[in-house]
Amino acid sequence: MGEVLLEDLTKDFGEVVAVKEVNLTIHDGEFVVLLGPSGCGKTTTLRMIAGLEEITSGRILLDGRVLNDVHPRDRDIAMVFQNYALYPHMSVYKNMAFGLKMRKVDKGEIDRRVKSAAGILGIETLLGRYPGKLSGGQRQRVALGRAIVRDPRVFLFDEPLSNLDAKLRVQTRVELLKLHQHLAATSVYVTHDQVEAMTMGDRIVVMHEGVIQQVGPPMEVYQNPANQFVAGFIGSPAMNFLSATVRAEEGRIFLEGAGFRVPLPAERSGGLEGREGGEVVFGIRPEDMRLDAEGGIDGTVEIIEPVGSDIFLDLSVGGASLTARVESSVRMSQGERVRLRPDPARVHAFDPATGATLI
Amino acid sequence: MGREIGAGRASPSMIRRSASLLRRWVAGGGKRSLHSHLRWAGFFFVLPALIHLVIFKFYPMLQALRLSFFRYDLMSPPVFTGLENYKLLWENPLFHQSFWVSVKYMFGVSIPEWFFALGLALLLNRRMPGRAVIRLAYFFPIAMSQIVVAMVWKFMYHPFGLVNTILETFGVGRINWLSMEESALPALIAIGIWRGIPLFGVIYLAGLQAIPKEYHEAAIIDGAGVFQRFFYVTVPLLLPTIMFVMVLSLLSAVKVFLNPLVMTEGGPNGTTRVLPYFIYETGFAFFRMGEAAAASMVLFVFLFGLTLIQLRLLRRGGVE
Repeated sequence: MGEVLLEDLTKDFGEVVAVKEVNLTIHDGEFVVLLGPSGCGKTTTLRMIAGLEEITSGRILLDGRVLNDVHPRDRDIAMVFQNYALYPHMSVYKNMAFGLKMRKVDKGEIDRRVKSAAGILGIETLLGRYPGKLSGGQRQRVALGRAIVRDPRVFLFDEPLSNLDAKLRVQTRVELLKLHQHLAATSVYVTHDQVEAMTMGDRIVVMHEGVIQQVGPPMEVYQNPANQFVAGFIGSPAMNFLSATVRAEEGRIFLEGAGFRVPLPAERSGGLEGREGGEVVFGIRPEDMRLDAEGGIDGTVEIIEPVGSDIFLDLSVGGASLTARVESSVRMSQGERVRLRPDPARVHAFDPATGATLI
Repeated sequence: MGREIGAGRASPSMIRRSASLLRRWVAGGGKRSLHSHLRWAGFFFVLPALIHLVIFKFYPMLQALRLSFFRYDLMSPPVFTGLENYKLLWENPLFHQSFWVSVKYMFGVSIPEWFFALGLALLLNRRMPGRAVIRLAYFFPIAMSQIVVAMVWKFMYHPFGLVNTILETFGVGRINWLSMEESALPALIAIGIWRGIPLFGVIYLAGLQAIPKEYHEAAIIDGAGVFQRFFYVTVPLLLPTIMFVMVLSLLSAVKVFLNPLVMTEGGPNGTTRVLPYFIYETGFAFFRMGEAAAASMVLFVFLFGLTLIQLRLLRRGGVE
């Protein structure tokens, strides 16, 4: 078992509130990713679960047991640190065995568990080496190994891939997922990389300024963001935001602004009821538009960015900037005027004052 | 959200021109002249230190070595005597006494310094109110002039000084610390320790603060207690600093001179006549400059050997 419950969890550092009344249930065996920009409180939350940070108020429970005053060593959790924190003066074997040695586990059992974990991670040949002689990827595996040998109820990961190069990061991401499937242990993973979050998490917890913005499966968060912050944070390139006015004509609702006029289907315009003539933020993802001579968005091509599978067009729409993703077969030239048609089912609108999602 | 383009952008022809200029500069004379410039710049940066080292360290050392083979009393011209000065030293019981006084002083001061300084650094490394002020207070003895320190302590060790006054409140009778053979050297050792702890404490503190806190956090999660973290994490990671402090403390202790000069003049009965004081006395009180230079050479060889042994130990401990 390994169900983690965070109840009204708050942490302040003097005047600064790092984490504010966080409520979250992490189910047994679930892989939950805490995602957000630097300073959003995700690492502080993780460190509170680990017991490395005191809790200002609220509670943390693991399988019903309150952890607030439990020493980190007695929490039955293991943590993989951002810079791995491998003891440089100990061999890989000793690094992996240290936690068991401190718990006075029998030497034979330590040996069995270290070798078993090394086997799972494919680092049997590295056991005699020192961390200074290992590559980034190998250190990363040893750090994982140190966590695995403990057989904890909960794994905590603090941006463990951030020190790896891009190629190795993708590879290790897949291996981490396989490992999670193999171990089926509860995992809490902190990252600021939304691609990591999208690909790894059973659920994503998006945080901003110490507050949870949205919790949900990756695609759910991507397609139905709870607010403008989540919409802008998830997705690469980011969702486009344009200032718009709500217009009602002949029973239809339009979002209108400099260089665009986008009609909304009746079933999607409910959230804008009573806002006719008012200002909103029109949001559309780059992939949710297609080139169409009759389209409602009128733009001028400024930059063309071919990325192989697609082309990203940076357009100027009424003085504002907008990115669109088009097929790689499309031929465009700088300065060309184009029209785009947004997918009505994928149009978003946000309250300009609160950022709350309207549609 | 968008990127600024247009007015500020360099035209493709401009970029091509700049790239070609850069290529020519890198491929041609530019590369060579840059490298040779850098080499000379490096040399000029170290030159002042090098000049200082040669004039004020190496030259006097070589002169001392040369002088150690001569008989010279500052008045008549030096006379070459070969190894005569070394033979005289070997036969001089005062030299032997001084050598062992120095060894006693060196270890008597250094060993307590290693432990007390580490203890102080561990205390100051903790979060506590007024930490900066406390650190400054502990560092204060180093900032004081050595001669002032010697004078103040001389008064404090006086039979009617502060030390005896305090001891008297605990029922201990007045002791003439600096005039008794049993107490003079320990009294000087105590001052050496008092003065050395803050300096080495600060060095330890820098070493402690250079240990990333993640190692301790990982050890906490691994289940290590306070003592286990100290012995399994702090000490091994502090080893380079520990070895540095050991070398530095031994070297600085063996060079002590001002305190015996001001406080005891090497007495009573030579019990505080450390080697540097013996050298000074032989050279400038008895005008046997050649013998004094030979004693300097012996001290130098002793210190050099000691340092080599420590560096060897340092490497064996996996520290470079």
